[in-house]
Amino acid sequence: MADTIETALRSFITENFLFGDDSRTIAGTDSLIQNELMDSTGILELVAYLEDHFGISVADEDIVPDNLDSIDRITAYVAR
Amino acid sequence: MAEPAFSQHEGGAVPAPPEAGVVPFSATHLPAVAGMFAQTFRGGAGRSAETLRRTIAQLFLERDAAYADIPSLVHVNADGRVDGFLGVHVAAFECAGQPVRVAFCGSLMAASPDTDPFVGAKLLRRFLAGPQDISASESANAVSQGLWTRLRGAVLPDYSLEWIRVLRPAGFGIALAGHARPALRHMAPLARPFDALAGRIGAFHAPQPGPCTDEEGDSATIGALLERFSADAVLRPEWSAVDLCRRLADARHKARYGPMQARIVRRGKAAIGLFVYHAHPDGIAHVLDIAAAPGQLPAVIDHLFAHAHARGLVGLRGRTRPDLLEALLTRRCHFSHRAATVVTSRDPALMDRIRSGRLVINGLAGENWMPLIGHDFA
Repeated sequence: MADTIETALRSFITENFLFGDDSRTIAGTDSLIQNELMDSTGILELVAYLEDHFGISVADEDIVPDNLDSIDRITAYVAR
Repeated sequence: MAEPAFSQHEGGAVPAPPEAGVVPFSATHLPAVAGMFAQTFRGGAGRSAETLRRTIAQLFLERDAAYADIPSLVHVNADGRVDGFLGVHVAAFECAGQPVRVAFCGSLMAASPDTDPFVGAKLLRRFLAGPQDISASESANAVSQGLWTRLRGAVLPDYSLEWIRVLRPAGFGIALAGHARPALRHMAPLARPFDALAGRIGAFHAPQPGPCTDEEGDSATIGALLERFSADAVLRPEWSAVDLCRRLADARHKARYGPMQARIVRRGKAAIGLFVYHAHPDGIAHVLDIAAAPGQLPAVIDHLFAHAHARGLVGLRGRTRPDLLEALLTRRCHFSHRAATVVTSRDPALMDRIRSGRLVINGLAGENWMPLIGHDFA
């Protein structure tokens, strides 16, 4: 389950935040904000993707770095 | 009532301080919001000015009770500190004859947008989830424009350009430079001989006023004319519900742009249009609004240019809209993009109607009349 989520997330991030450049390696714990992969617009893109792709509803209070700032955190959040 | 906010930690959801997250703006947040506004938009100047606090309170706290369900919003961090703000101005509009509530979102700001981009995203998301029929902004910068489009907002390109008409080229250059270095404005007299020479060249001939005259407009007359001139618009304010006297009084507070001119344009005895602009002597006019009777817009624009030239101004700038764009294209104007007009509605039928015709959502109808745009608070 977590592997499936992570694979989908990596694909989304490569396509949308790296513009298809799959040569860059992102560790599961890398901060998407501190590594300048995601800005405020990217956050909304990510949230829309999570809602559309995984069929979850992301509440306002869930839009925090603890849930969305790395692949590991996003995976854990979606799998909850 | 603010909903509780939680931070997700390894052990599960942990309650954050009672007011953390996105909450309605209240008087207790005012000093922090004023300080953040001064820091974000005025380089720190006027951060403790009472006039700034008063203005923010009037615009965003002292509002019609009918709009209490669409409040301005602040973001409070886990330490209880205000680190984001989104000012909301709600107004009664008509869309194809039906009453609608339009919420304008301005002054979107975050204390640390680079290190905490979550704040702006959450504020705008919450705002757009509100009960208003239509959400709009006429002052979206590149960042907030990106946020809007990600949240299915539509950018209106025809309403998002700035037009510029140069009247006196040398003076215009000095006035532009004076925005960055105000001391350069004292050089304005040096430009006059060059501009006198340029005035003999075709492109910079003095604009001719044509057969029209103009006079100072009072709020009642301006209100009646705005209503008449916008009769064919698919979306326009319910002008009778607008306290235009107060709005024009607010609009006068634009110290950066200069004193305001609100003029009615007449052909014979008939009022065919109006314009409102701000300008310093020897400066560039910031046009807040232009309105005209059907078919009279070219004459009103020509009169506006002539009026500004006769007052010694060096140029004009303002916001486009489709009918203006058409008339300005043949009047030696230049166009650039500074801030976007964006609009969205959750109702697809409403969006279809919005896309079907003329919109009156800028200038006195929108948010650019607010003193927060163009005023210095001391």
